Amino acid sequence: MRRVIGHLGNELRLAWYLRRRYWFESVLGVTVLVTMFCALLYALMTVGGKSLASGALDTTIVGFVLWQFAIVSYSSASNDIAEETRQRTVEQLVIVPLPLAGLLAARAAIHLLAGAGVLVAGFLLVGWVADGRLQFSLADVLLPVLLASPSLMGIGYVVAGVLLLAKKLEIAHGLMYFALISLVALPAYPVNPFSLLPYALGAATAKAAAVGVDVPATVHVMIAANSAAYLLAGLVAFSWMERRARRLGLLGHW
Amino acid sequence: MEFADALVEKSAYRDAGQAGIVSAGSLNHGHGMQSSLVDMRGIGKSYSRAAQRIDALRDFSLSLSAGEVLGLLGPNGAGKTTAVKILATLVEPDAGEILWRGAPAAGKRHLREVGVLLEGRGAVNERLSTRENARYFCGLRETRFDPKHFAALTALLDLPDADAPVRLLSTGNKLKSALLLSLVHRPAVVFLDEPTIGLDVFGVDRLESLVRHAAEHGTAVMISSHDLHFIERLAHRIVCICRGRKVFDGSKEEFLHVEHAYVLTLHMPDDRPPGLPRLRTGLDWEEAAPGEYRVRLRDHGELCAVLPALQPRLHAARAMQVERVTLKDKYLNLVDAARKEAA
Repeated sequence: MRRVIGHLGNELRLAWYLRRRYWFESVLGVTVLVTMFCALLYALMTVGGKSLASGALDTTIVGFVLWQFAIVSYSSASNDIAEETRQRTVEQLVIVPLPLAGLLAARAAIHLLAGAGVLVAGFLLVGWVADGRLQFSLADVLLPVLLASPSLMGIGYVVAGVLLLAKKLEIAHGLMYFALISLVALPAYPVNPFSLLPYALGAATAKAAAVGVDVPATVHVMIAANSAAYLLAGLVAFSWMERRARRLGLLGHW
Repeated sequence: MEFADALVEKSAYRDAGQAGIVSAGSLNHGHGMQSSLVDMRGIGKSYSRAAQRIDALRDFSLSLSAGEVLGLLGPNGAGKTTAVKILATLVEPDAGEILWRGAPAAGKRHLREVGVLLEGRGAVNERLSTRENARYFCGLRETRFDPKHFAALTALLDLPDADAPVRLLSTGNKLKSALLLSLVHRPAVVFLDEPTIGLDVFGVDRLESLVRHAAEHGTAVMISSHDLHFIERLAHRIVCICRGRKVFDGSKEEFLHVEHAYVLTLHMPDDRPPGLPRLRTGLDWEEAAPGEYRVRLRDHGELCAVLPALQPRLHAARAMQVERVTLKDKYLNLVDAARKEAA
């Protein structure tokens, strides 16, 4: 346990060093995101003729935030490998006592924590913009999202493993962002075959909760089970691909 | 098995027959380093490139002891980097085993005691400063960051501005930063693959100080390099590898030991018969190239004895050259012999 805490602390320190040195980029990133969201909201209100007070925009707001959280969940492992490979530092992450999957998990935990913070902040911001007229309970929306996010981490692990083997496939990694929009938009609630896909049931349940649907506990259990299955499959696939990369001599090799 | 017993067994193993090896060195190098830290036993590794099988390493064995500086020599593509990558767990061998402190290296725990610099470049996060990198890397290797040790290494390497982002440093200083990071967590063993690339003469001097400092503190250092002078100055032991096979493993003294210490060459005009001076019994001229004749001399005494015999005929020669046989000559001969054998 002390080891895990030590590595979490170390990754937090790394994140702090980078944020501190590149604070302007961080601020700019958040500003762009908020601006994009406000522009979307404004367009829907003016062109679509919808109002915040009516609750008609709640699903859109939730959908946007769900997509952002999906990106954070998915990209934690895959982005890390892509970035470390680009910087040619991935080999140093391998020559350490902690397995690479564990190290990526520590980073993912930090990203998810930060992502959850942004998620809550996003909802609070929207609530403030809408003068408290959002019609849904934050907890009801957050629970399925948080339960569903590990499934995308699993997908991220698979893509990270592929990037270890084929480092030039970063374009495929970029395409995944569009696939995430589909997963968020799919009508996976009530439970149907779409629900088997990663994150889809969690996102659909969160959107349903936003419009006041009373979600049964069994659905949350299904979301958790779906998440666990994808995460496990992702970890197994990543470990296999890491071993394969080691065998082929592709680790620490651009 | 007790640790000491394991060491005795490993020493015996290392000295046991290595087919095709010119000389197998002993563990006693005369500077008090005995305990074997890492052993590679019968390592084999092949790659497939463009539907061709390439044997990067074949039945390769190597041991490394605390405080030892080992120079790994070999031409391009000999398998040096593969050996380092296998030791660093970046590449999985097809055959053989690796022992860490006498036991099979299972898992990754032992990597907290390993430092690596690969292919003459450090895997440094260039967005961070050297100090931030050092703190982070110590954390990765589950070791406490020691500011005094960091300062000592910075001073040894003469690394300016340890608090500036590494991306702002010059190529040589980036390498110094990477070298520092390979030692900042006080590893028991450090593998330096082509550590002199990009360093100026002053940087190489600093690197030598760093390696000596590390070895004096018990760190085993394995240096793979094409810079023979650098290896000659630092290494206690030399391992020479060619086409994936070890062709020499012994002390530097053994490696440098040659039957003939000097080569005397006479350059005669092409249009005249050589008229070479007569030499005393046991010494013969050999034609190295048209008009170029040489004789191998055992030592300084033999050289002094031969020079008076040459003097009356020197006016007929275009030039005379006396060269001391160096590590480079021995190395080239070894590689040449290994290539011929393989062919």
